[in-house]
Amino acid sequence: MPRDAWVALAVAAASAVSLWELARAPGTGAFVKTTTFPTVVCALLLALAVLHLLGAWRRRAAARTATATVTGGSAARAAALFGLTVLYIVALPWTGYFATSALYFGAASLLFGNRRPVSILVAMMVVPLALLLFFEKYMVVLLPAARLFE
Amino acid sequence: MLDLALGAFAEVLTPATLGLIALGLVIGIVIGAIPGLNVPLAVAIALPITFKLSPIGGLAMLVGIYKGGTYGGSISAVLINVPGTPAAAATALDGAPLTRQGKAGKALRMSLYASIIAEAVSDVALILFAVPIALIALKIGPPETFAVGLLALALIGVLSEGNMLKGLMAGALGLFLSTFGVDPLTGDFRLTFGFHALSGGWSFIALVIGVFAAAEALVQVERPRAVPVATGAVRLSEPQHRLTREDWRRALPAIARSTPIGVLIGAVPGIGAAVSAYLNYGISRTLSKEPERFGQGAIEGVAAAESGNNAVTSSTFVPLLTLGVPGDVITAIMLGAFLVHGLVPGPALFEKESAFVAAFFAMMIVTTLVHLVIGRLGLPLFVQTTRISNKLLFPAIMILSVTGVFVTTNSYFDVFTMLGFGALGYVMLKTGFPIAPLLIGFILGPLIEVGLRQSMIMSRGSLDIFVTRPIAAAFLALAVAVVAVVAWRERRGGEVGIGGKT
Repeated sequence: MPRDAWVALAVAAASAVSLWELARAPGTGAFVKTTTFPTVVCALLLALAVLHLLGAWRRRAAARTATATVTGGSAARAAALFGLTVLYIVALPWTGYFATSALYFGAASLLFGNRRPVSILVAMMVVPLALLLFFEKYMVVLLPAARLFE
Repeated sequence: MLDLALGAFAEVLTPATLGLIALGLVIGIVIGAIPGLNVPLAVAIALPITFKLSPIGGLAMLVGIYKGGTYGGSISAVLINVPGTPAAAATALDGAPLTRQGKAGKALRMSLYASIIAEAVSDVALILFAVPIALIALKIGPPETFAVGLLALALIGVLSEGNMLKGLMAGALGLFLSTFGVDPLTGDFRLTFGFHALSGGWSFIALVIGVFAAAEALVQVERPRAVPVATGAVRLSEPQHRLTREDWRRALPAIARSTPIGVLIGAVPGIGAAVSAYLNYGISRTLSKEPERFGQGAIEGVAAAESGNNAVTSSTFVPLLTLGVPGDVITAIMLGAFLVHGLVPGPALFEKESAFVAAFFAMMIVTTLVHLVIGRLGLPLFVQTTRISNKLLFPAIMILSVTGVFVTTNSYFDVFTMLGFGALGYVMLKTGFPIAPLLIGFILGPLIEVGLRQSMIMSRGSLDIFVTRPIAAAFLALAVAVVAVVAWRERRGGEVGIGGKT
């Protein structure tokens, strides 16, 4: 099955679950109920996804070559960056903004192919510090503090 | 009258007021260019500072932040394909491809000049036609809002040409995502799946940053050997960074068309710059003889989006000044600055405080001129961003994205949501689903739903209301015309959809 058909399948499944959720919800409101608009949109989305799946099924050989607009590279790197960012967000409230951001910057920069230790170290310090100062001193918005060290 | 005008300009053209305008513009441009930070936030933070200033001085700083912020979003959109504001996402569609072609200076110049032209026209419209525009805006009720929403929604078809089914799916997904959480009319919850964090719906800022910034980083990390667009110092005087006569020939009609539409949209409460930018971008593509150029680096695409975006900046003051009704969040915050100084916006303001109103109008014009100067001075600096390696740029963008969403929403759920939308954007890019319709659907969802439901209440359930009100009927007819044009082009089969990141 072409990759875009998997997307359509996921969208169809999500639409079906949402339609079930909407059907259970008590709709209120005059003339057009709370659930009417989401139900119509959801049904439309399901219909489009099914249409796409049917089209992909019929033209699966052609679709395999025609749908990838971004080519090359390895999805593993993207998955690694995604996982690294999840770790970053999870660690933020525990190890604080500056330390976590500095470590994340270094790891992400390595993942992007940076092999210059000086450049990584300097940027690891400068970028989070600049953002911390900008947000906390100028914007007066508190960024996460290190709960672990409190 | 002449004395009033001279006195107004004399009050504005003082070093202190000019300095406050410049400061506001610089702050606005910086805030606007940073994904996640939004103009209302900056205006709200600066508001207490302005209480200690003169009325015109304080408002000058706030207007500077507003105008600078509205323009600033386009800088990051053009240079790194990460729109600083939701409205700038339309600018990214053609601005980012121009940067990839080594023409960042050209895109930045057009973005600035289109913004300035639109702002200037919007200023003049505010000064000369505030009352007639307000009278038109008063006629825009729920049926008209619904019809405008449908017209803009029809443009999803335009943006999806050559890729229609995927574009429509992306648009429907955007509409669907906009319906989560609390119902805007009744306050009931829907589609929360019993999950409290979803009661407020999906965060728009998380969606924009996710599908643009995070998705772009996830795509770029797969290319560790990619080199920066520019390796040496970038000079704006180089031919590829300059606007040619041909560029202006293409862009001027788009600016001339988008600006008045943007001015009218700005005067209508609740629609906003993002709808204006996308609507004008779509209209320009629909009317273009070479629609296939759009999305590939069409200079007229940048011009249409930017002029549509910035044309709202002055006209949003029309309902505030003439009726005392703030049309959006920013003017609502600015209302505070008026009231603190004992100025109550509304018809009486023009009679009792004519000197202030004249000074306010003069300040709007001067702010636009100072914006041109500061924007032009900043271009050589902004364009150097293209020299930064992906190895440093994208880790910084990811940190900025996380920080921007956290600062705006103060919610880790929204930060994770941003990353989830990043993954969604990545998958969409990989599988050829256009991103623009997703955003348009999300923006238009509440506009269309609320417009439809309020109209139904007004007409006691009759759909006739959409054809008996001339403005609504005209917009609906336009929407039908747009669908017909798209269908005809699809049938002709010769068009190419705007690919990649649209």
